[in-house]
Amino acid sequence: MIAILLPLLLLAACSTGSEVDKRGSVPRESELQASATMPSEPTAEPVATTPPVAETDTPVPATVTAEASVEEDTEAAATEPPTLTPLPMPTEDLTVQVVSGQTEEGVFFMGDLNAPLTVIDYSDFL
Amino acid sequence: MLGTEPQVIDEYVQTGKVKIVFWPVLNHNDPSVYSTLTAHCVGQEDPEKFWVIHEMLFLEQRDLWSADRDYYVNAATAAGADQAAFESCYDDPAALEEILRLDDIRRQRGIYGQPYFDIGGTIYGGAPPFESFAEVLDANLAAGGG
Repeated sequence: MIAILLPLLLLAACSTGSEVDKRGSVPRESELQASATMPSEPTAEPVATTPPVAETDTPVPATVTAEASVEEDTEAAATEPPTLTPLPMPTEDLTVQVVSGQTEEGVFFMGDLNAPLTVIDYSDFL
Repeated sequence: MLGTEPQVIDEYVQTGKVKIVFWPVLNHNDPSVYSTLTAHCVGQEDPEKFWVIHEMLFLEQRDLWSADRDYYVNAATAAGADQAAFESCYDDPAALEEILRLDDIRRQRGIYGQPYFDIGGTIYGGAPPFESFAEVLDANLAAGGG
């Protein structure tokens, strides 16, 4: 009897252990499936909503700042002339180039070639 | 123009308002001819030196009546001219002909006395003080020059 019962008991014990293993494995798979779906759900959510908003938000202020910088540049350019106005003064002086030479007629001259007025001095050294 | 010339140069030529031209007048025979020839030859070497010798000759005007060739050679070298180049020009008949040609032109223009000034196309005679000269120059400049 014992020889008959022992194998039966062992078989019974083995069958319940496999069920335990199967039970243990089932929740693990579900947990894996759940963990697989969890990341997919959050990734779907930010892709669908937040990233585009964030992307559209960032270019707008970027363009605004660009426009603002252009306005600042134009304003700065508009304010430059007063600071540049003193510069033409010395350049006007520098453009006066007094030179000496001989005219086509063969007489000597002195002055800026672009001088608005010419004075001819008819003189004798004596 | 010697008396007023430095001021005219400072206030009108150096500022770019006026270009001044020296046209020789040979009214006193050889002294006029050779002093002008000297200035011409110095200027041929360097136009800037023309204005140096131009001032020197006016300042030494009294000496020019008795000046000879050596006097002019010394004056030219004192003005910075090369002696050999100057003497070559001074002895060149073509240089003499050139200054006589210029003297003929001024006669053709009706200029017989000196000094005379052509300011913007109008002829003024005599040696006015600077203030009078400046008044004429300013009026011409205000009218647009000429």
